[in-house]
Amino acid sequence: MKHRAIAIGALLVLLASAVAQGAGYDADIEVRDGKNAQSAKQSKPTTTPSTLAKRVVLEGSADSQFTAVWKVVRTDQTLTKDELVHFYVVKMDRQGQAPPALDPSHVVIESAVTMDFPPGEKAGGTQQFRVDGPGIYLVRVEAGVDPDKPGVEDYAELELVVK
Amino acid sequence: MHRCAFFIVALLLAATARAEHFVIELTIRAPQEEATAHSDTDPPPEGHNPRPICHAKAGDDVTLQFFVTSNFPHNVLKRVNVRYYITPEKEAGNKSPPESDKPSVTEGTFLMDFKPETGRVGLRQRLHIDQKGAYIVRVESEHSDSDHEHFAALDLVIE
Repeated sequence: MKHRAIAIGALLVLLASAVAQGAGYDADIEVRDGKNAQSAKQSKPTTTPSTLAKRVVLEGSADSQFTAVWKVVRTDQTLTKDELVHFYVVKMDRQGQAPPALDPSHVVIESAVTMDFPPGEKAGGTQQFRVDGPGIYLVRVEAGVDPDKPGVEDYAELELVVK
Repeated sequence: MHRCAFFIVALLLAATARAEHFVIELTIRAPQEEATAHSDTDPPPEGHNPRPICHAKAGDDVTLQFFVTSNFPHNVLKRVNVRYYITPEKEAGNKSPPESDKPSVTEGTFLMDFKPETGRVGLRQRLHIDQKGAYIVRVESEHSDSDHEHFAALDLVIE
């Protein structure tokens, strides 16, 4: 019984470290509307299907022009090839919601970059956008995206609350 | 369904067939019309190809989409800037330059490396334009370490 408990404990530690390890990138993102700005850095997964994500929030108005500035840096000491960096703004149902499926009718803007990342390599983007109207929007950049393995990516994200 | 499936698949399927530094495909999609422009070269700044024209009504839901793919077979193009914008112009169909004193409808940049064949960037954005007039829609490379740059451009007329 004691050995089984130790084995289960070791497995949990292993799983926790695997989740925390991420894909080997630092990511950061800033959103501004000309008056106010908010930024967020590399996030660790905080949500399971039953919990709410705690994100930095920027409040803005529906007629504002927003600008998102994002950057990802390879921090792992290995080279990754044809890596995918994905940025998007999508309307959500409520604050704290896990990233939703990207239904094109709810996606305001979406971009993707593929390139090799040796250690220290960077990629960045600056994108202006307007939203569809009042609501809650997720602004997120992800690095190390594997379409077949959702959840392995590193990311930075914040919420835009538009009134 | 993975949450990024639609756009990522389109990015991975972006064409790489023509021999140049970059293959560019730029599309504007309006409710009644769609126009696509392909790679051109600068100089001259206005390029060699005619600009396709897309018409839409003020307030229409318009989608901007582009893919820029490296087609340079020799080496990685480092720290290339890809810039895009939708900006008012004097008139459509005449290769007018952007009116620099008027604000852009939207604009943005990417700073990245382009690996041969697989280095690429894509963007899709939904937007509305309420002001009638002619707009230039353009995506272009900057600082690509060459004696020329590549771009694709088209005209968007809001009626």
